[in-house]
Amino acid sequence: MKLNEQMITGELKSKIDKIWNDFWTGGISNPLTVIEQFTYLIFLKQLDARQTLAEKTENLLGISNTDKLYTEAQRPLRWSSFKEKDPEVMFDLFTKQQRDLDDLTVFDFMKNIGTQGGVFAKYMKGAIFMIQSPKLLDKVVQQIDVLELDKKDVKGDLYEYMLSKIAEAGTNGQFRTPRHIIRMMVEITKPKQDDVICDPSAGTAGFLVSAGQYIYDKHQDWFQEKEFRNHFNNKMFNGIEFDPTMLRIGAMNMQLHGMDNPTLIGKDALSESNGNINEAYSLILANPPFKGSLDYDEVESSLLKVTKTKKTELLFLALMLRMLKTGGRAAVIVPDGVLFGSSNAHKSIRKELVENQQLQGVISMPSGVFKPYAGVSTAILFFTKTNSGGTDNVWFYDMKADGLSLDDKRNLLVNEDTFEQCFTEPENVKEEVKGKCDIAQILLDANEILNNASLRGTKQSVSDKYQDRTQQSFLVPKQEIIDNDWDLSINRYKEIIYKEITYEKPATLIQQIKELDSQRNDALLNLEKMMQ
Amino acid sequence: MKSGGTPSRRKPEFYGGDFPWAKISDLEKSADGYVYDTVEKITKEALDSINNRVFEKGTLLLAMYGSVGKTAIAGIKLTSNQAILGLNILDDEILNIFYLKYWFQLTKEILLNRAVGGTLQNISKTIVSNLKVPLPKLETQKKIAAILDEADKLRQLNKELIAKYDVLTESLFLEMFGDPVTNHKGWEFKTIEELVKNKKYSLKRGPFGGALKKDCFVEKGYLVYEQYHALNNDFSFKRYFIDDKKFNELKAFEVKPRDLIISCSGVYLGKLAMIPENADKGIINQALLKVTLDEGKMRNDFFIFHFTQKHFRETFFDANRGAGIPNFPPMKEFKRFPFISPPIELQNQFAERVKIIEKQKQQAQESLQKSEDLFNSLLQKAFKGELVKE
Repeated sequence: MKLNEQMITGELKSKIDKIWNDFWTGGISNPLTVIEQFTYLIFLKQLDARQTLAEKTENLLGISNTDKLYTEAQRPLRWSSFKEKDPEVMFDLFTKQQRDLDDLTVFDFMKNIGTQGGVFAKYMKGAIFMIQSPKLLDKVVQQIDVLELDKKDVKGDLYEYMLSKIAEAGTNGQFRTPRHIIRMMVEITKPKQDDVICDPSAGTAGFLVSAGQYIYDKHQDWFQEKEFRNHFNNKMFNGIEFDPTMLRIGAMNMQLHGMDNPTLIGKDALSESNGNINEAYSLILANPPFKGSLDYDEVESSLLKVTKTKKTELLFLALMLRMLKTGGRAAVIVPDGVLFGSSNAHKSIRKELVENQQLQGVISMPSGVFKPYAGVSTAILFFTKTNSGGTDNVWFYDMKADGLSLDDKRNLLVNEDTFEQCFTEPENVKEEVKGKCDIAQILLDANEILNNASLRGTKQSVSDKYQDRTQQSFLVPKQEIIDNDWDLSINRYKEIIYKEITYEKPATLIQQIKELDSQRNDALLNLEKMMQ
Repeated sequence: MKSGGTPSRRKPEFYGGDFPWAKISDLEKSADGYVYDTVEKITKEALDSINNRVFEKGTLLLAMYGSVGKTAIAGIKLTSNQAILGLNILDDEILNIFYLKYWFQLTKEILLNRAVGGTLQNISKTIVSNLKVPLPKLETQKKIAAILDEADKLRQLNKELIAKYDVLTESLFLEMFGDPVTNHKGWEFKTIEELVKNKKYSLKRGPFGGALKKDCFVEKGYLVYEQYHALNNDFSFKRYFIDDKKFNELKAFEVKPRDLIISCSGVYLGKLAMIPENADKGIINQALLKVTLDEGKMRNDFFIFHFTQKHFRETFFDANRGAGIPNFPPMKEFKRFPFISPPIELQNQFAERVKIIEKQKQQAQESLQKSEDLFNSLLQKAFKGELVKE
C-alpha cells in the first residue's frame, strides 16, 4: 500500500485514477502535463464556485458584490454553464475565440483573470491548453465536476495523491521528495510563529505545504491572532522555482491546502537575477537538484566565492547561507558526495558549515528513499547560520529504514495508523516499529539533542548518552570532523560491531571428527546387519 | 490430504503471531526430516482467515511448487502456505508414514515429469491423489523405512564431517595466527607493497574498460582472465581472447602462474584465486586486480586465508563501507591495508596442516558420494521389492 493512499478514501482514489487513465488514453502521456491540465480545470471550477458564492451574498444582502469575476454576458465561459453543453460545443468554447464574448475563450479568460482570481492566477503566464479532443475534455470535466473540492482536508490530499502519480509514471526526471521524509524534517525543525520559510527549489511545494500543515496541526491557537493570520497568509511561505509548470503546480498545491497568498518566485535561484535576496528567511527547507552542472557565468558571483564549483548541490548550500538571516535554520537533503567529496569546492563548503556556521546534525538516509526514481544515497543536513561558528558535537543518525520497503515497490512496512503514530506519538511506537521505521526514534533523539528538550538531562548527560559509535545515533566532536577534512559521511565515524566468530579449538574439532567417524562406522555396520 | 494457505500480506498484523506457518524453505532447512520450527509465525486471526488449515504433529508435508517432491514430517502442530500439501494416513495399520515419505522421494522424478507449468514446475493435489502407492505388509514397510533411515543417517554424517573439516581449517588459522584485524598475537603488520615481488607490475589493477572493448576480442589468441576465474577457481573456462598486438599493448596486465587474481566489483567483491601452473598466457580484464606475492614473505595460500577472513573483509572492503554498488577501494587505500605477516616457517607449517585436512576432506567427500549412491540404490530396490523379501 502506497503512502499517499492513506490520506484519502479508496473511492476518491479510484476517481482520480480514472481521470488519470482517461488523460493517458486520450493521448497525454507526460505526467506533468496531465497534472497541469487537471490543475487548470480545477481552477476553472473554483472560479465558478467563487462566482456562485458572490452571487449568493449579493442576493442575500441586496448589495452589489465586487468579488464577482464573470459578467452576466460571460456566463457561457463558466464551468456550471459549459459542463452542460455537448462535448463539441464545450471544446469550441475552450479553443475557438468566441466572437460574441469579446473574442475570449474559456481558457483565455482564465489566463487573463489576474490577481482577482487569487494567487494561482499570477502563475498563468504561458499556460497552454493541451487537451486534444472534445471527447476527452467532456469526460474529464464531468469527472472533476463530481469531485468535492470544497472540503479543505480532502482537496489538498486529493491533489497530493495526483502528484504522487508523477512518481508512479516514473518517466519524468523531477524528484518528488517523499512526503514522509519532508514531514520528518519539518517535525525536527519545528517551524516557529514568526518564521519566514523558504524552499529555493520548491517543485510541487511539498516542503511549504508540509510546514503549513504542521502549523495547522500543532498550533491552532496561533490562528486566533490576526497578526499571525496575516503573516501565515502573506509572508510566511516563500518558494523559488525555475520551471513554470512546476511553479503552477506548486501554487495550486498550496492554494488547495488553504495557503492563500504565498510568494512564489519564478527564477533560477542560483542566478544573478535572484541575487537580491539576502538574509531574508529564518527557516529553509529544501531538496535541491543534484548532479546538475552549470556554467560559472550562469551563477551569481557571491556563491562562487563560498564554493567555486559547477555542482548545483554545493551552490545551493552557499545560496542558503546567503539567503538565511543570522540565526536562521536549515534542513537540506544532499547527495552523499557532498559529505565526503574531496575537491576544494566540496571541502570549502563543508568547512564553512562546520567552522563558520553551526552544523547540528547529519541524518544518513538509506539509498532506497528516492526509489523508484533513483537509488542515490542521500543525507539530511541541519545547520544554523551564525557567521561566528558554534558547531559543537555533531549529531549523526544512521537511518536504515523509513517505514517503506527499500525496493522499487516502496510498500508500507507498518500499518498506516502506526506510521502516523511515528510522527504523532513516537515514544509509544518506537519499539513496535524497530527495524522497519527509524523515524520515531529519529524524532525522539532529535528532540533530545537538537532541541535540548530533555528537562533532566544536562548537556553533559546527553553527550554521554550518545557516545557509543556502534549505535545508530551518536555525537561526534567538532575537532574530530575538522581532523578528517570536514568529512561528514557517517561511515567515517561509525563503528561496526564485529561479532567474533568463535570456532572451537582445533583439538576439540579433531575429537568431534573422530566421534563422527565412529558413528559413521556404526551406521554402516548397522546397515549391513539390517540387510542380512 | 489438504494444502495450506497464505494470510493476506496486506495485513501486517497477521504476521508475527505465535502459530507456526511453514513455507518450502522451512522444509528445505530441516536436517533430520522433521519441521520443529518455522521462520514466520502468524496470529490466531490469520489462521482463521485461511480457514484453520492446521496440520497435526506427524503429518507428512509435501512441496508442490519449487522444490517439488521435497518432504518433511511436521514435528509440531503447524500450518503452511498453499505450496505445501499435508498428508495424513487414513489407517496406519495399512500404511506407514515414513515408508510413504521415502516412496515420495523415489517418485519425485515421476512427479516432476508430470509437473505442469513453465519455469516453476508445480504439481497439484489431483496429481498426488491419483498416485498409486505399492503396499507391502506393514511389517515390510517399517523395515524398509528403518533401512533407509540408517542409510540416510550415514550420508548426513558424511556431510557433517565435511563441514567439520571446513571449520577445522578456519579454527586452525585463528589458533595459529589470531584475528588479523585485532592482531592480538602482535605480528608485524606489512602493506601489500611490502609483500609483493620487487618487480614491475607485481601489483596491478585491470585496464580501463575502454582499453579492452568487446571488438578487441578474437577467436583465438591470448586469454582474457575475468571475474569468473576468480570466483570459481576454474581455469578451464575460456571465453575471450586477444591478438598479439593487443597483448603487447596491454603487457603490463599479463598474469603468470601463481599470480593471485582478485575480483574488484559487484557482489563477488574480494573473491580470489591463484593462477595455476599450466594456465594459458593472458591478461586480466578491468574487473580484476593482480597480485604477485613474494612467496618468501607471504605464501599465496596464507594470503588467500587472510584476505577472506570475515573480519578483515568487513573492516576494509565490505559493501557496508560505501554507498551504492559495492566496489573495491581505490588502490591508494588498498596499499594501506595492514596485513599481518607471521614468520614464513609458521605459514609453511599452517599450509602443511591444511594440506592434511584437505586430504581428509577429500576422502570424506568421496565417502559422501558413495553414501549418496548407496542411499539411492537402496531406495530404488526397496520399492521394487528387492530389498526386503516378504
